[in-house]
Amino acid sequence: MSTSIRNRLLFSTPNAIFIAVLVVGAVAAAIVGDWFYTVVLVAVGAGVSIAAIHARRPDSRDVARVNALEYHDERDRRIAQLGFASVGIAALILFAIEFVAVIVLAGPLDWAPAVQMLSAWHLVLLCVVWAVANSVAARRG
Amino acid sequence: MLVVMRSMVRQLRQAQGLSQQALGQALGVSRQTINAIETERYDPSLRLAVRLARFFQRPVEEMFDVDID
Repeated sequence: MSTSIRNRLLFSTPNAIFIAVLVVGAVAAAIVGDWFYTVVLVAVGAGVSIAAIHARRPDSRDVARVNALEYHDERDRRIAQLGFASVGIAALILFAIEFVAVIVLAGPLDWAPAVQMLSAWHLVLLCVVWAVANSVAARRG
Repeated sequence: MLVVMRSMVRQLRQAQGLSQQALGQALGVSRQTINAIETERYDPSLRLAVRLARFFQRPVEEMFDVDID
């Protein structure tokens, strides 16, 4: 997407997807009559929107832009890459710990098999995303 | 290997009476990015280095002095 088009949009693409998911979730919660989660999802969506709009101001701080996924230039993207690299390593380690903990505790605590499956899927999905991300990054040079 | 890059961005910007915000706006980058380049906390990409050099009408190698030990 060109810079001029991106500048005209209200939110970055990740934020637009994030907000859309929250709005769809709020509508779904309202349809099934769960008003508590309707309000929670609307409130989170509003919070994300406000943070994104705040980060797009010309005098916003670099950390505010990176935290809000509203990157302005190459340095913002570089900071985000470094930040997400740390997040990725932490997520891999934490999901591995979760997976091992669930395997060890599922028997004694009589947890449902679905809990073990969910934990395994967390780890598998993260590894798949990691492999795809590495492949894309290597192709782009 | 230690690589140190010094730039003439601050001198040239101040010589033209530009603020960091104004230079950033002209180049499509943030004020913080200009500040980070000037204080040697961020090495710009080749693309941004060329844009800076063209903006100040100087050769890139004159704008950025790279020491490699």
